[in-house]
Amino acid sequence: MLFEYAVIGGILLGIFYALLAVGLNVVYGAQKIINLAHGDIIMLGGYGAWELYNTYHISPILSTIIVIPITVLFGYLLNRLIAPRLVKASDPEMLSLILFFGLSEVIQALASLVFGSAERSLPVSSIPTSRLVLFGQGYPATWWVSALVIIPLLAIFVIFLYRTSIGLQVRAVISDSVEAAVAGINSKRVSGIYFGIGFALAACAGVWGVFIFGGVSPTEGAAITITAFAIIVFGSLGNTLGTIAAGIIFGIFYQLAQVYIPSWSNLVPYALVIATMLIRPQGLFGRRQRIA
Amino acid sequence: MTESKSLLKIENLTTIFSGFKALNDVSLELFQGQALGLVGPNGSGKTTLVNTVCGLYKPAHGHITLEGLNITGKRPHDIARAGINRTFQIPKPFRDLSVYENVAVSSIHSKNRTSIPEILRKVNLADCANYPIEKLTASQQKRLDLARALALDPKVIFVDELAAGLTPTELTEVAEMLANFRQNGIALIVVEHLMGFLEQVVDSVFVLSAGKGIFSGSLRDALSDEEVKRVFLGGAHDA
Repeated sequence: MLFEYAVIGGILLGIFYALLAVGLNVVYGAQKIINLAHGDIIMLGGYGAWELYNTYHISPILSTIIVIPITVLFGYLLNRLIAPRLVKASDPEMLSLILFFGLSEVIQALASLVFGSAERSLPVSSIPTSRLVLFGQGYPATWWVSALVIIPLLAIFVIFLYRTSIGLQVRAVISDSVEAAVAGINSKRVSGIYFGIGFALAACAGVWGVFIFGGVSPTEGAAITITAFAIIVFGSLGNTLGTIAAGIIFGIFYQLAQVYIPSWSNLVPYALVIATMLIRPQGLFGRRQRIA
Repeated sequence: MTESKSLLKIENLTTIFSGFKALNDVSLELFQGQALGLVGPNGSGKTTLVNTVCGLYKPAHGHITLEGLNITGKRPHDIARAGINRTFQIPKPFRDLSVYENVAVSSIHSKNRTSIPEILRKVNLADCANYPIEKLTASQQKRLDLARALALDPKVIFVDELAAGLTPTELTEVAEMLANFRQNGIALIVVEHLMGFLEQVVDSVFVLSAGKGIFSGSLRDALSDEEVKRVFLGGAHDA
């Protein structure tokens, strides 16, 4: 029974982890950079939900929708600000790491100033509270409610990417932005929008992170970024469906570790990265690159 | 086929990289349905000219007009939408998109959309629509490049070393395709080293050497021109 509990619980949590990581993958796809401030955007999403609930009594379910346009705009404007500098830089990867490390520090400092350093949490009563019972085992409301909100969100994102004209352009830009421009696509604008969507997905994950992590604090960003990075490496860098699947698999591994070897469970992200690099460097769903 | 309407006019085009003039005061004019061969030794500025006209490089001086519209220094996607498209010496398809999607994404900003199956039929790829890119042969990838260029309803296509690596049968096949494009009023600038192929597809040639235009006229006249012979055979090229 413990095993079933761990697997079902892992799937429910894994859906959250898929959302947690997919935003980082999207930003990587848009600009070919690792957003070191990813966890801090998630943290801002959490504070957004906390503020909206405490000031306006807005449910986190509604907050998930409210944070989307705000963070898309923030991500888009940030992209338009930094992308031209990255293009001109002699070492764009290093510059991007420095830029986003700096952004992470700034967000942390501002969050501490505005919200204080103490952890903030949302009452479980802010969402439907009934426990989910499956095979005689009960699962917290926060797990299944977050899964119920996140599944359609991820489905809409996948439909956007694979079934719309703008999604097709996004995939072309991810593949080769210069070639996309020659095909008449405004690569910079498309990259900017996609970058903004990455931020929005992160902020949505942040809303539910307040429940899954038990609260939100200014310093949580770095650990979240590492977890998200482990998941996208495991699933294959740049592969959206791979990241979603990897998030769910990660959730199952993590929950199994929580049940059987709880004191080791926090090592799961690191073990996953190392194992992926050693056994299948292209990731679980990646194709081997041919070096010509 | 008419060759009266001027499409593309390049005047005194100069492109400079860190003080080096990769293109030096180049001027040429292209007419509707014309096929112009762009030839020159390696490093003569052929690809720089293509990239500058397509907006990938900013020119230091000069003007480029398409049907009288100034497109000098415009962004690559604006130039592509205006009607100038290109293929690449090494085809660069979008690797995560299917053959159909590769053409579909290139047609999104076309002002006069043709159906994707129709475009694929024109380049003999109709049976490969749902193939992933990895499944295409080198020749098919080159034809996909042509299909993508066609999808934007172009007025001018730069065809960059299409013949390299193709078999004689494949060369005949693509030569026929290019002839069909011209019949539909599309002008071609064909960058090519293979003279036999050029002879099949172009009316005239423009010869570049060290970034400068040194000859404009028929391929036959070019082959007997002293300066062209010196550039190609005399080892005097210094770029």
